[in-house]
Parts: sequence; structure tokens; C-alpha cells
Amino acid sequence: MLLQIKNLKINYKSDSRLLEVVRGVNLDIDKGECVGLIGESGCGKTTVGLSITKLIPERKGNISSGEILFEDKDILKLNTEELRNIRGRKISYVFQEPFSSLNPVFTIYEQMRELLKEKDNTGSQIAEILKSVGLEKIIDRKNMYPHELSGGMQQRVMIGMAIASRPGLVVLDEPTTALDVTVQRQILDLIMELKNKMNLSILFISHDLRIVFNIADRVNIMYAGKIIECGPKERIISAPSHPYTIGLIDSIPSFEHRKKLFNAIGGRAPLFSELPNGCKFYPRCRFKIDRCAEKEPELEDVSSGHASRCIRIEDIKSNGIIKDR
Amino acid sequence: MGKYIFNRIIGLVVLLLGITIITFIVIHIAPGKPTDLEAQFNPKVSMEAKERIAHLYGLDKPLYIQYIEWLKRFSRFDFGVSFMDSRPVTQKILERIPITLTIELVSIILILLIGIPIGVTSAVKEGSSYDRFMTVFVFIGFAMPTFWLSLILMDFIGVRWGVLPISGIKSLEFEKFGNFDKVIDISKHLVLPVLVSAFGGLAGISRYMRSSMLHVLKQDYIRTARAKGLAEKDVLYKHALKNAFLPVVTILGLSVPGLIGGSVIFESIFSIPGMGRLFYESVMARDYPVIMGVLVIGAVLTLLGNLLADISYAAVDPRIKLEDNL
Repeated sequence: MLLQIKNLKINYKSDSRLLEVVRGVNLDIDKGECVGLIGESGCGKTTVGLSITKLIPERKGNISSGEILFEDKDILKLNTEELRNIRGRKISYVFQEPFSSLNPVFTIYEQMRELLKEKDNTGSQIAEILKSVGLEKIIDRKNMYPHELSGGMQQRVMIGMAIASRPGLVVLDEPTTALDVTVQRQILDLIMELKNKMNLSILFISHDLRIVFNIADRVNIMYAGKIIECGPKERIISAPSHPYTIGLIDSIPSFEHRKKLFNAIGGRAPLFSELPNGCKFYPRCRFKIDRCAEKEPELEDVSSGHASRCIRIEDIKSNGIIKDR
Repeated sequence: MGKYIFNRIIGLVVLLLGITIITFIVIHIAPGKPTDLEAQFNPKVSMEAKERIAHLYGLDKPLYIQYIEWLKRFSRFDFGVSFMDSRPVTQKILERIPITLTIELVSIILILLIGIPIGVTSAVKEGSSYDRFMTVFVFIGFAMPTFWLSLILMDFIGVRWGVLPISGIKSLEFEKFGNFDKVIDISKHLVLPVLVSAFGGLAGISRYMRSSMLHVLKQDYIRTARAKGLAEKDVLYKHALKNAFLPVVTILGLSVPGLIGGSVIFESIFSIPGMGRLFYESVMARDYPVIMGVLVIGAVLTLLGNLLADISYAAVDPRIKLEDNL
């Protein structure tokens, strides 16, 4: 395993009290694998991504327990210096908004230069990176600032910076959300191309199921700070095994049923300050029974490598309420 | 860029003209006349004498004529002569500028040298006891009345301990000193005024710097810089600081007029013959030419300071381009 997150718990500070926003997350990523992490806004998925190199600002929150093993070393036990050597070198990031993720007062060239390990021949190294992300035309423009690029080009720069040092793991945190659809496609193609060419391992964080199903090998679905279903992409698509996942998949608009309303999941994600007892999803669940409110279910295997956090899943499936598709 | 500056300067001249008109009117409708000072306490001065003086100064003409005459002189950079001692206004102002400029310049440099680091470090250690101590410290400086602090310092440092002179800018035996001792002597006289003025100004710049830095530290590109594995000092003092400085440039531009405006209060307390005192005295005597001279110079510097701030803003922030077509 390249990365193993074990029972990760993260608290955020909120009005002088602590809220647990990541409530025991387990996640594995193998070499060369692309793992998706899906969830609604505020479910804790970005927080998990940032915690992998301890990027959560101290004023916001802290990791209260768990292990993050990267190449068998616990990242949470590293000192500042060791952590710095991992950030950007072995684990790198591409964030959601390229225009605010690049520093406006430094040139693209300078921002790329400062992350290179080898300080000689930086010019040709940078040219190489720009070429690999399809930005040949700005290679000679060393005085270019981020605001002179389009959103898609800015994201290409971010991706270039992320792969510059051939990292073991790239965390892509909603890399296409802020871009318009045609540019999204180009960026996803670029990511896939680089993944295959460089055998990158990727953690792909997104709220967009279709994108994740496109790009990921395995998928984790997160709800209210916990993973509620995980498994190989094909299994999740063909046999979703948690009412939340089922709801998410049903809500994807389709071309065949254009006139129909979206099948949205009712209600809204709970606030971390007022989480329900028992299963955190049950207030919105179509299949809820009284027992759901008693105890939060464990993540249990439904088939090999595919697990779900729902006490009723066998029940629901065998009753034919949900059919495998 | 060149055309931009040219256009701006044309605009500034028009603005300045407006300012002089309003200032001129306001000064003249203020109660009291220049002739009062000479006539009020002297019963021997008759009405006729008063009128003669008024005529001599041109005060019996309609206001707009007076203004046009003033403007004609001003267009030749001539501010006229003082009513009080008939010396050219320009000369009176020029002899006051060096001392005020020195005090203000030294104190603003002190303010920047101390205030900026305080602001930056407070932001980096937001909410720490250091941050809270600095907040209290700079606000004490801000809230404390200048005259009170000056008097306390004069009493202790000047009178009781006799470390520094308490007023004026030169000792009595100044003329006997050698060049080096002259510099030392003036410096000694300036320590207290500079400290008092710097202490009061610390709050503004340090709080501004702090909030600017705090704002920047929450930006996504700071997270990117950390995610790249940069050392914390590079994240803070390279990536964050350059951005945090941008708004402060404006403040610096706005402080330009203060450089020669001086402060009436502490120039009076420390008996410093600077611009603040000159202005105060001329207002009390309704010495119109001097008042106008001081105010117009202040206005010019304010306008130039603004222009300077805009230009330097474009120089430090690559996103801002000064458009030639205004």
C-alpha cells in the first residue's frame, strides 16, 4: 500500500468548542491507483485530503487521532523538516480554484522555480513541465503572471507544479469544479494522460459522481465525516449498497428522462453541531426503520472489497425494493 | 503610463483650483479680521487707520478680485507677503519646513520600522499573548493624548533626570559648538518629539499591516505554498508579505502631506518652530497669505501623495495596469 489512512479523526474549532468533522475514516491507495472520494459540500472530504500532509491550519482544527501511513511511515509523527520534504515532492496537490491558488504577485515561472529540487537548469526543467501539461506556448514567457492565463491554463500550471517532482501521490481536490464544462473535459483528459504516462497514484476528491466514475478505479462515498460505502467503481455503479449512494446515483440527470424532475435526495446534510444519533443519514433515508436511530452501523462487507454502512442493505435488496442494475 | 500620469496631473490641477477657491472663501468668512490684531487692544488706532491698513492689504476689494489677485501671484509661485511682518510667505514657509520635515520623516521611518514588524508578527501569532500585548501597546500609544504624554516625558526625562533637553531645537550655546556637536545638539532636542509622534502613529500602520497579513494568510495561494513544501519563512515572508504590503502602499501615499504639515500640539509643547506652529500663529492672526500658502502646499502634497500611491500600486501589483485612456 502506498497510503493507508487508519481511523482518522479531525476536530474543527467552532465557537470555542470542538466539532468532530472527520469521525474515523479509513482509506487505502495503492501504487498507480486512482481512488475517488465523493461527498456533499461540508462532509469532510477536503479535510481528509488536506490532512494527508497536515495542511489543516492550526487555527481551524487538528487531527485528534488515527494514523496516516505513507510508504509505511506515519506522517502524523514526522517533524516539520521531514514533512516539508514530503509536501510537494512525494505528495502534491491540485486545488479547486486555480485563480486563487496561484499567488497573484509572483510570475508563473517563479512559482514553478521555487518548487524544483535541483536549482540548476531550472529553465529547461520548467519548459519540460509546461510541455507535459500542454502549455508549450508560454514556455518563453517568463514574465507571465497568473492573471494573464485563463482558468484552464491556470489549472494546467497547478497540475504541472503537482507532477513536477514525480510525486508518489497526487491529491486532486475538485480540480475541475471551478472550470466550465468543455475545459473540465480537457483537464480530465490531461489528468488521465499523465496518470497513465507517469503511473501516478491519485486521490480524486469531488462531489461529481460522473467525473469520479470516469476517472477512478475505486470509490469511497463520504457522509457526515465517515465513509458510508466503498468499493471498486464497477461494483458501486452496478450494485450501490447504501441508500445514500443509491440516492446520489438516482439524482444524476439522464438524457432519456429529460422531462422528469431530478430525483434529489430530500432534506439536507446535517450540521456537525447537530448530528443525529445512530445512522447519520437516516433522517433523509427512504428506507429508515426505528432501529436506524439506535446505533451508528459499522462498515460491513457486502462483497469482496465492497463495504457499506447500512443495517438494512440485505433487507432492502432481498425485498426487491432496489434492484441490482 | 506616461500619458496616464499626464492626464492625472491635468486632473489634479483642476482639483487644486477648486480647493483653493473653497479654502479662500472659508478663510475669509471666518470671523475676525487681520486688522483686528493690530487695532483691538490699541484704543489709539482709529477707524481711519484700520481702513488704511485694510486698503494697504487689498482687503477692501471684493472677495473675487482678491482671489483673482491671489491666483495671479500663485501662478508665479508667489504666495505674497505676510500681514504680520511683511516677509514673503514662501520664505517664511521654507524656513519652517526643514525642522518639521526632519521630525516627521524620522518618526514615520520609526513607525514603519517598528509598526510593520509588529503587525506582521502579530498576524502570524494571531491570538497569542504576544499579539494581545502588542494590540494593547499600540492602542495605548494611539489613545494617549500627545500633550499629556509629552508633558510627562518632559517632566521625568527632561526635568527630574535631566537626560534630554525639554524644548526648542537648539541649546543656548549652540553657536559656539562645532559642526559635529551641533548635529548632536539638535538630535538630542528631537528625541522626545520624534518618540511622542512615533508612539502615537504606531497603531495605525501596525493594525493595518496586521489585518492585511491576516487576510492574506487565509488565501488559497498560501495553502498552495505550504503544499509545495516551502519553508514556513518563505511562505510567510515571501508569499504572504508581498501581498500584504499592497494595501499599505496607499497608506504611505496618504502620509506624504503629514510630512510637512507638522503637528500644532506637540510643536507648541516642545516649542519647535515648525510648520504646525506657523500655521497656528497665522490662523490666530488671520494672516491670510500665510494660511493660504500652508494650506495650498498641504493640498498639493495630498494630491501628489495620492498619485504616488496609485503609481507605486501599479509598480508592486502586476494585476494593476494604469490605463492611458482615463
